[in-house]
Amino acid sequence: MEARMDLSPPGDLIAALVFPGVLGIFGFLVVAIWLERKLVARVQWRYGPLYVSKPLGGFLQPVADLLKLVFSELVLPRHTNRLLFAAAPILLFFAEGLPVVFVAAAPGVVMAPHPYGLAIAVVLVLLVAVLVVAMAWTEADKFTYIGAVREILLTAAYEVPLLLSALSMFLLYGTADPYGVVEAQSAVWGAILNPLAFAVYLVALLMATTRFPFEIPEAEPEVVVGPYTEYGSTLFIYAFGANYVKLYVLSLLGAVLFLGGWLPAAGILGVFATLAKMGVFLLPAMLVRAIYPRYRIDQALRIGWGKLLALSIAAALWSIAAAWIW
Amino acid sequence: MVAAALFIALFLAVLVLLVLAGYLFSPRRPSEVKERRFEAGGPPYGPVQRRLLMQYFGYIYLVTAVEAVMGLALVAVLTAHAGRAALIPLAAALAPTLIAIAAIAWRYFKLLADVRRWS
Repeated sequence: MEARMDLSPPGDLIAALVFPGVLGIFGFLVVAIWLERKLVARVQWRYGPLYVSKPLGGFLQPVADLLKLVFSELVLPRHTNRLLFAAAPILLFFAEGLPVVFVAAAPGVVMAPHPYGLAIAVVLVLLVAVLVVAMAWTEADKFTYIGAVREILLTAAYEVPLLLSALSMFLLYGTADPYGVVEAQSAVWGAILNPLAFAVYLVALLMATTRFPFEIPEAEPEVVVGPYTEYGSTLFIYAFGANYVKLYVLSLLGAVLFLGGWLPAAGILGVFATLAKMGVFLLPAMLVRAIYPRYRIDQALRIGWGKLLALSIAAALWSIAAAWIW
Repeated sequence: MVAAALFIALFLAVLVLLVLAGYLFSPRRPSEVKERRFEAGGPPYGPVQRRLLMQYFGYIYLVTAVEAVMGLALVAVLTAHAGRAALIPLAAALAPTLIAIAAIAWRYFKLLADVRRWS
């Protein structure tokens, strides 16, 4: 409760403009693409991107790629509804970033504090699948069609476990308030209080962002890039980058829900603690790409509807039992 | 609330401006081939927006309709500050959805129960 008292005016503006707001989202896109290429290259005994800005370890390569994409020809295919075709990826990218409005990165650094803020954020994350399907339908292409169907099947498989793992943490803390959740972890982190929910969340995060073992909707050897096949130029950045934004949002949520958010730090410096904890979700999500093969869709569905669902129900029961005992 | 509005406005503005920048300043050499549907090099063949197989239909309905209605209703209830009274609109929102699911399941029960179609 005390944290809410020191909600100074700059705090929410920092949240809107810097982290976890606009700058954070676009900055994450650059850092994540660079980090992913470098980490995977390291595992595979390569150097990764070095051509642009060699002294910086090729850090400016994604910036150069994004600039090149922005200023390449914008092709709107004839067979589509051109307005919808252009609007769909913008809406998708926007909707993927929207949940950060309700997540606090540090005391006072939240755009819209709400007693059920984190629950709303989780619901907003789950609603985005509709826009992926709408985008694929607008593109009207065989690869996007298959990609959309795969995306839906995968969504149906991961969203119940994801929701249940978040819900079991809310049950355990007895609140979905962005400050209350972190205060409830002041003694022990949520990942230790309910390790089952943490495990489910980690796997569901990989599925939700279609990271590697579950990179099924956009499997390159099979369906080109699935739901984004028809896009080029800036629209490709949005369609393709939307998954990175989702990764950003889900790891931010995970850091707050399971790893105590900004906890050892206090005040505005908590932002850095939250950023560091997001790495716990980001690094595995990037490294699995280097070591895992891709599951078939039926294998992924079996995991989602079988083990993961059972684990998430067990996590919810664990939370109910723990909350009842206390 | 000001911060949230600022975030939404700025985020959307940046997204739209980047697309406009590409649209206005990038070189443009339109050709018939570029505007075609992508078919991995071949000429476009057959319709795409066709009817889905029944086995996928349930999932799509769940993900696009049921989930959206339930999720938005939940958000509406949580943001309403109205306590128990807000549960009535939630129930009102859920009831038609559940009735629709029941109706679809009843209508297509034979098809859904036909295991051969699922394999």
